Amino acid sequence: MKLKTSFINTGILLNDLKRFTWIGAGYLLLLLSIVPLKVFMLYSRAQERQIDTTAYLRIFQFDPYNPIQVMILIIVPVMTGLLLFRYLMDGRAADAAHALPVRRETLYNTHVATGIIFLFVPPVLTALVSWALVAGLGIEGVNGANILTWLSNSLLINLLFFICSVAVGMVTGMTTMQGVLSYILLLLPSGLSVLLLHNLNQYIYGFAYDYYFSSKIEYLSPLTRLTDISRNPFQSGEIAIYLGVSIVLYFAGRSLYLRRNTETAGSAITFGALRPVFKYSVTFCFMLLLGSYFNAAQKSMAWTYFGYFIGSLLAYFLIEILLNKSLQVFQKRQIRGYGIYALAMVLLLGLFHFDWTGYESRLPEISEIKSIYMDSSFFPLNYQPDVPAAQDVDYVYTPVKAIFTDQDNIARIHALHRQIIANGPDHKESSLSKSMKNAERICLSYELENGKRIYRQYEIPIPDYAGSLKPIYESREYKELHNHIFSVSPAEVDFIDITGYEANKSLRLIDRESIAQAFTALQGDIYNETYEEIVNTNSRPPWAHVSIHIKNVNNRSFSQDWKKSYANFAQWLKDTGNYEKARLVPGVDITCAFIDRVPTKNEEDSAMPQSKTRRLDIASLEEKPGILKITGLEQLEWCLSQYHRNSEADYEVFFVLNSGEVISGFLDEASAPAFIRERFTP
Amino acid sequence: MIEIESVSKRFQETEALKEVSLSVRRGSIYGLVGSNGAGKTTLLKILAGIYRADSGRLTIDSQPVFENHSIKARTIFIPDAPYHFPNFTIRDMALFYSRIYPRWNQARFEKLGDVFNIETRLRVRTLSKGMQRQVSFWLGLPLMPDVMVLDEPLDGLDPVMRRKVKNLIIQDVAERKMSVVISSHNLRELEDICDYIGILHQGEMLLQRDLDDLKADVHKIQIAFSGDIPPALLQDLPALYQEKRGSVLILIVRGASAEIISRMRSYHPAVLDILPLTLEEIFIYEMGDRGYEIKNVLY
Repeated sequence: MKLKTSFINTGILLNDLKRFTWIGAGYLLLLLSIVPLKVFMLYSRAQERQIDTTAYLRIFQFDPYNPIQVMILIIVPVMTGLLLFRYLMDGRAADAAHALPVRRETLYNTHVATGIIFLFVPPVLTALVSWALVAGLGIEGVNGANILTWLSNSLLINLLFFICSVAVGMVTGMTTMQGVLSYILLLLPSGLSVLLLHNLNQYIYGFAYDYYFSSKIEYLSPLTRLTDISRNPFQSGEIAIYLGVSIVLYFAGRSLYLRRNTETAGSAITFGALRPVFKYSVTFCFMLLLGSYFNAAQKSMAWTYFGYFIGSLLAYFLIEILLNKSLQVFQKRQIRGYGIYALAMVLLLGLFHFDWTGYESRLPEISEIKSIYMDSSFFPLNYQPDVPAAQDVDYVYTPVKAIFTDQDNIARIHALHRQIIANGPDHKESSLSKSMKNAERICLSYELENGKRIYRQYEIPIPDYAGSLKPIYESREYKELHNHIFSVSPAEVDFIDITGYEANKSLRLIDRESIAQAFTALQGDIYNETYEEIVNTNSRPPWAHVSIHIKNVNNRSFSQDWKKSYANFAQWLKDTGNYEKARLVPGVDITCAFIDRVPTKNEEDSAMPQSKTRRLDIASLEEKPGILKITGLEQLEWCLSQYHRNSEADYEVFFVLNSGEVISGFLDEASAPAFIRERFTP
Repeated sequence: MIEIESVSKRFQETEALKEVSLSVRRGSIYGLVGSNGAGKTTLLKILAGIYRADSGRLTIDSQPVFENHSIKARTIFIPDAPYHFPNFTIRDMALFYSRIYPRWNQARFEKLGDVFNIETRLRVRTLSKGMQRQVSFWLGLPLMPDVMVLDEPLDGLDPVMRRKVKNLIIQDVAERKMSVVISSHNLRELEDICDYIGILHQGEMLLQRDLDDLKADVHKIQIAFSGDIPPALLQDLPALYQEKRGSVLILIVRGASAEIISRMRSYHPAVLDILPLTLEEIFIYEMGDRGYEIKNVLY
């Protein structure tokens, strides 16, 4: 007598369907109650009052606003995997299943098929019911394509999560481990990347953390990707990867099932060879996790090392306890195992410390460089306009990529980078605790002639590098790359709004000629700007914000300051008679100003109660002993053009507006004219 | 029919079976005896195709068993603690087996209902342990197995049911030439049904015997002389065991019974009797002969 060998066994399949119908039925009920029922509930309410049509659409979306949908998608497929393969985790059930005249491969295929039936039929039925309901009630705002997207997302995630949970089940003999490991595996691509990046960033000076740590890192893990699929739908490449991974996991699970021994039911890891792999991987991840935690919380390397030690120690012995199912794990063998691990980690950290790959000191030859990107972030470089924008954001901002190709600038940036590397190790030590004052992030990306790219990122104290930065910042190329106004032609502009700073003043330019002239004036001023004006260390406020709106694009605009150094633009406004409409004008908007010495620290502390109220109270300013009141137009103009926001200054200035409002700022003694200096010099 | 050749099996750190060999003829019953942890269950699970042997060879009808569904379709394994699906009634289980086992005989299942006398609509897991074991036999016999692998099957059955089950097994062995491998930690339980006995101790097969040969080969003799016991007698017929009760000498002797009797008679004893030996006694003496104390091996 010969039994036919088949892909699945009907007897097992029928039995699975009988035993686990409740999974499918429960899943179907859940879906029906959160999808078509919700639609109908909204529809009933819509009879009484207006309902936004997007409310219907939201029912079919997976995002944090729809947590039940997302939770179901996360829980149900993994749970199905746990239940269907539960028999492998229980000795008696596993014996009974494998005493049957059914080959292991057939058992595996049959259970996988059962799972797919339970995970696919309920969403399909729900989609059909929803479609019938939407069509029957004539609901606008949801169409067949929306429902189909919901369905295909559900099916794809169900498939991947289920197969993942099944494959993981083959390497463990405990249902809880299967669940925990499934989610860890689903989270691992993102989680491990974040941990590695975060830890590398602490060791490697110049590590381009921001370049690698973009939002795309969340897309590596299906578990984190899931919360965003309605805002950023799956790309066909992602779908192919998910399907491909599902197929690979299916075959991996099958092959592991065939190799798995029935008697391993109940053990944490079912393959002897995987036990050390599992042990050391968990130890490593836990080490990174606690290291990152203490690093972020305490901002100190000592705490980071403490985190490494505690994390790895805890994880190592907990896993030993789990694997041996015994607390007797503090034996010679285990302690030696941990010692070897600790030694390996010390060596690894040592390698990073001594920059064994030459990462920190790598600087390409100038002759090799094709171009260099330099900016304060990698965002413009990583920006991909071909990604469909989020539905609820209706303006598109395309940042300019600051890629330098001018040979002089390449040489200057190269020299700057050489200087940063040379200073590097000193700054590295203090990189965790240093005050962020005057420190700026500088992100570099070299494109070499051979097509290779090099990415680096530093936090540098700007004043220390002023000499190197000045020629770069003052070059035409830098200005063109860092000011949006150079990448737009006046013909594209719809209108320009000029809004006075801290003033109730605004002006709109709409005619072609004005727009073109304003462009020329602003561009000329930007070309003339010095390094000091660009860096604006004391944060001198501008005269006004210039908002440039682009034609034919909803709300798309960019902003450009009318800085106090912009003489061309000021002159053009005067010529066209708009000058006083755009900025605060002494005599017109400002009646007077008061100047006083900035109290020293001690004085300030004792004068605390007063200092809180004085800003708003003009009367008390008037009465304050020693205060200088100015009303002269030229003097007011000078104060207006010079005041800044840096409180480490000599004088404090209060402008009193016609409206009674008070604007405060600071002035420096060094640049102060005689009328102030004479008044305050003893 | 069943051939096991130097099969070994390790579980992580323990060696459960060390080069165990045995063979079972078609239509015979092999009793596997050993204390707890001797490796009986492991051997039976390898025989049922549940465990994979690390080394050695196991065949039924010259075919390997592991992953061989056509052999497993004719084999039934009843473990010491049978597993039944949660919430399944006896009828549900029967339906399940009828779909999986191609030789399922529904008529026989119905007929066996008279023997076991449990309602088929009851959930198996709600039954007592002994009744669950009866259900295992009830469900196992209609599969019309050629090989029956039983792990301590009679534990927990009452004497009447024990008899009934033994009879059912013997009936299938006699009528259908079914082969049975049955384990127990109790020799007495197997005495009346086994053709072969193998003793497993710490993963090793200590000895295995054909029971008929064994019974014909070892004898318990009660002998008494009017005077002193002739010293030549004990040299002539070396005893596995001897004991003196007053003037009566009790000897356990190995050899053909006719020859022993005639040799004994040549010393002119006043009394000479051959007494019946239990299986247990035979093994006590056999193993004592090999330097094992039986109470270390069994119980």
